[in-house]
Amino acid sequence: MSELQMLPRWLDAGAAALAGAAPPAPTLDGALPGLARAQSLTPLQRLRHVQESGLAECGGAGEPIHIAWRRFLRGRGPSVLVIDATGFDARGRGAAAILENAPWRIAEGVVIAAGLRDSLKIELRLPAELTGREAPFLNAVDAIRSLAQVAVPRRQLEVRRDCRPSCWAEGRLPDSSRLVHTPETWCRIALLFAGVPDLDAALLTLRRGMKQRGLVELRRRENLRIQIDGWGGGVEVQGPNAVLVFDDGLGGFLPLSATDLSCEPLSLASAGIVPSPSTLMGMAEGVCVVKQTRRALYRHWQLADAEEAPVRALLARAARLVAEITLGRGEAAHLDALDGVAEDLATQGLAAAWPLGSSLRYYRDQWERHARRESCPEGLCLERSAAPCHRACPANIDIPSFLAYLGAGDHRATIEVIRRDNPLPLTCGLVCPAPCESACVRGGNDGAVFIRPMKARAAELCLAEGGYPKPALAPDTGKRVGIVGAGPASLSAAYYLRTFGHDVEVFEAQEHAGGMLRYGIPAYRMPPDLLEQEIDQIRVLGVKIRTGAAVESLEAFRTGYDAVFLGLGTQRARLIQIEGVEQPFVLGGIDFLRAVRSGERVRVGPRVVVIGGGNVSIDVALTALRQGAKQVDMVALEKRREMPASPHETELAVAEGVVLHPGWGPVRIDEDGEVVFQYCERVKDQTGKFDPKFDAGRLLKLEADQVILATGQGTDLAILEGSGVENNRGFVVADPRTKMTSVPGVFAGGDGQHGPRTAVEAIGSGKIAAASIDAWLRGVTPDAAAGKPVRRAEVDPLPVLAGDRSHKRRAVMPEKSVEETVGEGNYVRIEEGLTEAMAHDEARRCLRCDICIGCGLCMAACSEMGVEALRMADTPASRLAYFDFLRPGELCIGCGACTQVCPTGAIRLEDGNGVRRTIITGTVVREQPLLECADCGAPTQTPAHREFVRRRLPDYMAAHLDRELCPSCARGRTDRPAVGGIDFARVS
Amino acid sequence: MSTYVLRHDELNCIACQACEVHCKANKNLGPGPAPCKIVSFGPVDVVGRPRLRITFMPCFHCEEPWCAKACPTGAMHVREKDGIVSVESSLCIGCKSCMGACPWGTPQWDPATRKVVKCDYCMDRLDAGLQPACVTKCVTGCLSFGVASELPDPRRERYARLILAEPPAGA
Repeated sequence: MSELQMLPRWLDAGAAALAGAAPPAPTLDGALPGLARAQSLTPLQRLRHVQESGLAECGGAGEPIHIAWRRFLRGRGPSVLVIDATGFDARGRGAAAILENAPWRIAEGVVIAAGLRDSLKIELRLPAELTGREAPFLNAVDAIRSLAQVAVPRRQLEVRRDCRPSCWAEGRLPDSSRLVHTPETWCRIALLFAGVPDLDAALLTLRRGMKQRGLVELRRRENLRIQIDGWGGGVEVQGPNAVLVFDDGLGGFLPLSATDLSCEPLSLASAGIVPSPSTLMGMAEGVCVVKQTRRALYRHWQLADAEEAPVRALLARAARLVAEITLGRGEAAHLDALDGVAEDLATQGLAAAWPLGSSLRYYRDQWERHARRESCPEGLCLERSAAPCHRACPANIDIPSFLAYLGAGDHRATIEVIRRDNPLPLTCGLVCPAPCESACVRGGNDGAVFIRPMKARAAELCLAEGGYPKPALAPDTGKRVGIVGAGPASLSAAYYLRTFGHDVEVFEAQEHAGGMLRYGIPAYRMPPDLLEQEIDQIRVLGVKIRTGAAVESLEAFRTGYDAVFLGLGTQRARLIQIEGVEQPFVLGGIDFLRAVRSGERVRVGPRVVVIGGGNVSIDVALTALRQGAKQVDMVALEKRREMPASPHETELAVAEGVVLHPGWGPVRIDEDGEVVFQYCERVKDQTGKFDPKFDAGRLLKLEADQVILATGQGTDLAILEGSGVENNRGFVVADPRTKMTSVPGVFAGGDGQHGPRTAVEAIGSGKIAAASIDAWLRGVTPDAAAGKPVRRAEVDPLPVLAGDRSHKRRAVMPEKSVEETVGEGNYVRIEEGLTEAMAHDEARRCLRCDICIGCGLCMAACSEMGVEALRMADTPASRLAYFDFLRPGELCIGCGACTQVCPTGAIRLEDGNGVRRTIITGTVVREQPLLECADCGAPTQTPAHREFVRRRLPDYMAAHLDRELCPSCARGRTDRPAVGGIDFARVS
Repeated sequence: MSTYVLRHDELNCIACQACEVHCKANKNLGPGPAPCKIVSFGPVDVVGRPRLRITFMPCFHCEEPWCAKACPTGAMHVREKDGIVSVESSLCIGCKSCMGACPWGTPQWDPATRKVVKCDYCMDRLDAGLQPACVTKCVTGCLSFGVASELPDPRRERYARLILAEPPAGA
């Protein structure tokens, strides 16, 4: 299936030979056939030719071209021809395809128009995403000049980069000095003069949600529905009311059922959407169009960056009203106001009318249900979502709250907050791969907050004082819970069950508790004494942990307890079945690590090959270096960027001297120790399923004394025999929500249930299991909130200076040098932990996304005021965030509108001592004096706000406000306008 | 000015504040904002007798309102058909510019909605053919409301009767 098969012939790749440098024909007339024709016509004749053709602009408002031409022809003075390659949707491919494949046609169109008024300047406006795509066009221009034997070009060509599309559907003021067309329109002009038929069409990029993706041609005279069905079968998503999204939402929304209309610009415009769309997406019926509209309106507001205040205010009002509705702060009046705003946008010619008008028109019921605060089809609006880090943490630790406590110096409260969701703060502070940091909103700006080691720091401070604060224990219930295994899942389940008041006993087959933390993670990352200290903090609550006590049969074990939790773990290495894997010098990764951590004297090397690309492989490789290996080669199936191991760990391994071979799959291990690999072209197929493709011709051979396979782990399920507990592919099966197995009263979690994952995921599953075991023992339904992020505290944001908040960079973990850490038997801890100063600063980098939910209402209100003191930035977490805390320092007038619209109190005013402070999540962004009432002395407003009001009033009205009075004193004077006080004696 | 007028006859007013209470009840307001207010002071000496002075302070619905000029969002606006000045609450962002601009302190802050509220002559009631809440529930009937060109001023009427009943000496 060729993507380009539905494209017109003139847009084939061959037309742009040598990136536009080679002319399509040897002579100028042959290369530019349209120009030859045009040159025989006067400007007015050219205009008439264009008008008779009915050619319309491709993209945007789809205005007939002759209107712009006529306006242009009437103008006087210097003129500019503009090729505007910007578009609302950065994923549109039309402009790129034209610039690449038809550069000669663009140039030809421009030259034809240049004859209208002898324009001397040509401007190419390029958006950021098309940077570099202009080369064929520039080549074509040069080639035309050399064909025409122009030595000194008269016309000046300017390329303007990083341009953004205009927020106007039609230019606000018709500008007769510029003739602006999209690259495609310029092409079609050239083709029109060359006599090519069938030009009444425009390129359209089909995006996700459509069965066929890529470029097609939208025929303007034909029916939209019929065309959609013709493009590879139409819309991918089901349902008669699938939502068609034009120009990434910025061009409006249309239900599939309303598409029985012609594609003429006027017909689409009367349907309320963009008259000449350039991209099309399909979304399922249940998508929240209100949310999509909000996003589109916010983008339109952004595009109006350089516009005048009233225009920005109108767009900001639209964005604010919609945001208030999505936040559940809307009323019926909001919809009426939005109808008015949509009308204003349309009459002013702003493109934002398309998304707002069309969604209000076709999805009225969604809007009304939002405005009545009833429901959102996606269920995402109308409720306050947790901070991204909080949501990303598999144990759902309330990260913003604990960071604030730690920043305030209260490490006991810090640990209390963390242990509401994770009983092992020290362990996670040392070994967690920190998915929270990947989700951190600050990550896209100047580096995520360094969350992980902050937990360890708080934990170490508490342990140095004699232990963690003890959680409140519920009264004893008399129920007994038996737990098999003492890994992170079991420890977590034990801790929470104990706090619920149950009697908990843990049985561990190994000599020490800790499971994978003790036997799977090398001591340079997880020192055993620290782990033991942390487990003691669970023991002191009365949890009995019996080590060296293997449970042989679940059936027998169950009888002694009211409920049982299985935290079996994955302590068995799964060796991939390749030739030679059974040889004695081939070890399993986890077996090797366990042997080392159990204190066995394991000697390897001098040459070791480690197979696998995960964090376990890295641990194996680094441990091998400490157990006698001189040369460690690590071979992963994935390319380095796709390796499951965290990048920091990989770097550490390379720094210690491990040789990395990414992209190779093992074939066989020979008796003499030679390991043969074949090149792996790709690991996953397009849908993301594991499906490696190899190139058997490209081989890698490595010599080894030991081969360690860290390619997978499995669970020892012997204990389940005869119990009726089901298993699937070697793991215990349990309900993911309740963690109950097929046998009532038997629960399972951790690696042995969900497969080998991280410690923090095991801790999360233990916590969920504890909640549902507790519910089961009490005979109630489990709390639905278990396993969801819950705010554990409401901590005031830390006071941070605006400059620090804007510019402080992420701390760098102090680590021992490689010389200090490498060496046989050297298991010294590599990370030294954050210093006090670093932890202090790091806590202050937190943006407090739990309080500031990034709705942007404050910014919209400020823009409506015309003050523009607030600027939030887009983030990958699809929420807005403040990174610039300095801007309000110059612009804020202290009116407080932002604080009134803020749904969470993240931005607020503080008045005191004659000063008003504007505070964003703890950071004072502006401090200004406060005026006082001349009569009563009460604080009134800031001088800047007073000036703002006075400037809006004519002088004679402002003169009435010379005395600064508070509203209550002003009213108490009982003046009458133009009368000036009542003569009471006369009235009575 | 608005086509309507809301008159207060001080002579009959006992400052019971029923007008204020019913105004707030009609607008569903908590303590704090008072779209209309009875301002009283005294007792002062009036022709040798102590008298409490009472003024009723609703909004005057100016011809060229300070508040509407100061409002940056257009929330504060003059209704075209009858000149009533009112706040469209969905457009109010709470900047309090109107409160700083009104020379008579009329726009009121409603902490419950975090928006401004003010006397709109009970537009909803007017449109339903009723009188403003304050007038409807005035205990002594000292408040009167109507189209300015049709409503006699009770004070003027009373003065006229006074002159007719007791012609000045020498007439």
